[in-house]
Amino acid sequence: MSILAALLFVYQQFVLAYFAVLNLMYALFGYLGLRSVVIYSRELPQVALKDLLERDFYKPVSILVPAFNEEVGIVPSVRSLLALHYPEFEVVVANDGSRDRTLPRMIEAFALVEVPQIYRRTLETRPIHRVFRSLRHPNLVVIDKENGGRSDAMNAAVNLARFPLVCQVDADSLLDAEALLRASRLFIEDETVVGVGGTVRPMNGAVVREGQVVEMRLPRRWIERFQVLEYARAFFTGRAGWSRFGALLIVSGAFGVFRREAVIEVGGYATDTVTEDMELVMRFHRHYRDAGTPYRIIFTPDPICWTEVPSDLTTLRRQRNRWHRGLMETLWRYRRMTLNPRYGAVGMVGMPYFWLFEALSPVIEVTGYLLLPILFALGLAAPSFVALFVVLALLYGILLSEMAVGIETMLLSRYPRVRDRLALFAAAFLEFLGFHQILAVERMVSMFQIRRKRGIWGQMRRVGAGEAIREAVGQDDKPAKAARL
Amino acid sequence: MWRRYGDDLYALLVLVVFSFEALTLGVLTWAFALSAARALGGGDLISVLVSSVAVTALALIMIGSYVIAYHVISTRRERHRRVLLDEWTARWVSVLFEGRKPPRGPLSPEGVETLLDLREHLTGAEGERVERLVRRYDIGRRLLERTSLDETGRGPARLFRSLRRRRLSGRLDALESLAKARLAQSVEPLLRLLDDREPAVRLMALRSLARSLARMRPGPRYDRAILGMAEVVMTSSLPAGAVEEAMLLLEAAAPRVLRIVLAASPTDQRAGLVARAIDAVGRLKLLELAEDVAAHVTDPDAEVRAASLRALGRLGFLPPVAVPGALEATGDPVEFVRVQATRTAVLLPHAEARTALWRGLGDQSWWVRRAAAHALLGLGMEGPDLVQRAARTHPDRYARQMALQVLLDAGRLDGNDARALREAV
Repeated sequence: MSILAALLFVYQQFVLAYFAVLNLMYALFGYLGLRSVVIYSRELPQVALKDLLERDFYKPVSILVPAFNEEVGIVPSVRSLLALHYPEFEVVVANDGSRDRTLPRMIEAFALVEVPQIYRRTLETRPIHRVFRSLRHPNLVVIDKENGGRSDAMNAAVNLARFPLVCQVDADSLLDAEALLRASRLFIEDETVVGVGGTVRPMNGAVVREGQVVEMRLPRRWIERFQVLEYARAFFTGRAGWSRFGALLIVSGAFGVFRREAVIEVGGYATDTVTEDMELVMRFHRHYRDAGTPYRIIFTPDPICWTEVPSDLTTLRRQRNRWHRGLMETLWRYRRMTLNPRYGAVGMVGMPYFWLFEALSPVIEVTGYLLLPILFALGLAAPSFVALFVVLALLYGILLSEMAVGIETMLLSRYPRVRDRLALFAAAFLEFLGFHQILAVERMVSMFQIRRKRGIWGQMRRVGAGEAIREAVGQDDKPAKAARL
Repeated sequence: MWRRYGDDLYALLVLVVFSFEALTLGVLTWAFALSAARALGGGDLISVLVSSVAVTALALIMIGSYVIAYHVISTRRERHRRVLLDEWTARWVSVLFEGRKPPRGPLSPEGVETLLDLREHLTGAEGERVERLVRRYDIGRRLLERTSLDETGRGPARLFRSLRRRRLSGRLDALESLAKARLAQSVEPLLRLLDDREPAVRLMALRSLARSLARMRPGPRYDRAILGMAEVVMTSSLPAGAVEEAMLLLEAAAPRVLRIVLAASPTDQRAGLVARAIDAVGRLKLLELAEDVAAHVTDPDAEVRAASLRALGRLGFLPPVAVPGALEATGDPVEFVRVQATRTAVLLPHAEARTALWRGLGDQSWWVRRAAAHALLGLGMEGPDLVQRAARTHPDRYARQMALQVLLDAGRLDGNDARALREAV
């Protein structure tokens, strides 16, 4: 009994130290994120953007959109991409053997015609059946290929891309009008930049008109509101902080811009993982560090991408299960970089942090929840101690969310009503009363499914925010009212 | 994209919270360790835990209150500011176009902002009147004061001024305004700011400098500024792309600066900046510098060779002195140089161009083949016929395919022709 008690006590000490370091890291990242916002918001003012455009000083971009069973949202999504403010770009949609009406819908909406296309098959992919071009939009290319997964579709799109920069976008996402301009400018400015990640924000609840988010509204469901907080924490504090350290390990699959040649140089997107976005970034780090080539992968809070987040718990759990499996797989694949000085900040800080505070966090969190009542039952911790510790952890969680929400408040396109702000404050509190724990359990469970579910994405249920809104606008003269989801 | 006020205060608040939390968590961890060693009683541990909860709750109240207050205040402030901006714009329009008397100074921030916006948008006689107004209100001096780190005065006033001037956001905002103001008086102080330790300040100062130099009138100060700018272009520690951006902003001053840069010895320059300067010549279509660019077509550095060929292609003019080098470059061992040389080959004498492009169609590089097919298509009246012939008779199979693809892309084939030709290929 005394050995067990001693072990439990040691573990308790570990959990406390873990908790302290994790929260301090988050707070530090919050500060660094804020500093980057202070600089980025001024470094590229409107006048500088105008100068870049007037002097044709930009790099053309190929926007790559992998689509699998996206019949609900593909047309409005592609339409919004075609309406972007950028002087030279193309949209390459890779229909990855969809079994629904994704392709017929696009053929109808964009007047697609089949064209013979000779292209350089730099990356190996599943066979491409047909290539289409639009009679209405000369900068739209649609590939119809055999199903091979998201990464395979991305690789096929990279093969057909004509421009030096490629931008990966989810088929259910919308880009801010200036997103490409702001992201591509970083490649012009610094030749060592190989990848740029932007901020991803939930689109649920927003009013969308002509492919652009014109009014922010907080979603109605609490599950979506919790994700608003999660995205704010992840992007405004976490990634901005890692970028400042030069150890950014993830560029979101929903929106990231890369040099095409760099993607090809490292062999394209890996087809044997469910988080190809993180895997690609890790491969960049390993490749360029091994080669001794200077490179930068950066996050900038300016270019913004809007995405539809799951609105039901089942889909959300599947998504988080996949993300966590992908995280574990990728960390394991690049385990030799961990604590290896050759990989600089990535190996010495980023990797250990991701192992300890991202990959293992659900285990420590869940066992922590289980341990408290055990300690209490064994008489090793006083009830007042347990209660105070739980309150402290809760307050910390809310504090970190509020820090991120504070950064969001400085965005011009923020949630405009004070009521929304108060609701977000409430969400920061409620998030820790069940939602956070459910996801922690799901993430922990996913660790035992890595082998069994290798390569399995899990079906994502889409509401199709963009299209629903567009149709609502078409039927009603009061879009702001009608288009709310 | 972002609101540009209150962010410094929020950063300071987050820093304070972070420091307090670090201290609290440190004490808490220490207290747990002491408790484990039985050096601290249970009651004391609970007291430490209560204190931690209290500090965290206080931090939460501070952050939460700030966020709500910021939201409410910023909404009101923006509404009010919009009204002020409209009023000031109307006032300036009446001064400029209806001959009304200018308002008395000093101007409010909204007054300065609207005047600088007009400076940005108006040119010609109106633009000069706006410039006179900017000078009349001494806006340049005030902005320069905000960008400078010079500390004058004594005692607390000096400290306060020093802290204000060290505020990065304030300095960057002032530099943006200077970029819009485009004042000759700001050129020399901006040159000094290019040594600032903050990269963002250096970048913004370089942009403002280039924009100001673009509107400067000729004279001894202008000549000095040109030399200073050329020196910056050759030796700047900023990324090469940022330096090129500044070169493109130089407008009328660009030829003089770029001529100095292109004539300088390679040892005086940072690697990569020559290629960027040559690129700027092409983008700005500075035909008078074609000879200077041509001198770099045979440069030992592949980046410089490629940039020269690309720039000459953009200029649409190949000086005779560059013809042998450009022809030789179509067989360059470096792929991206061959691509640029192939694109520029249309400017070669006709017979040489035909030969080089026909050969380029059979190049081992897909990009060179594509560039050759496109260039051949644009080779005068006979271009399309040449590509048709290439699609049928070129000895290289990949050359035939590329020629066919380019014809299809250009819409030079109808359905039947395309089918027949595809079968032939």
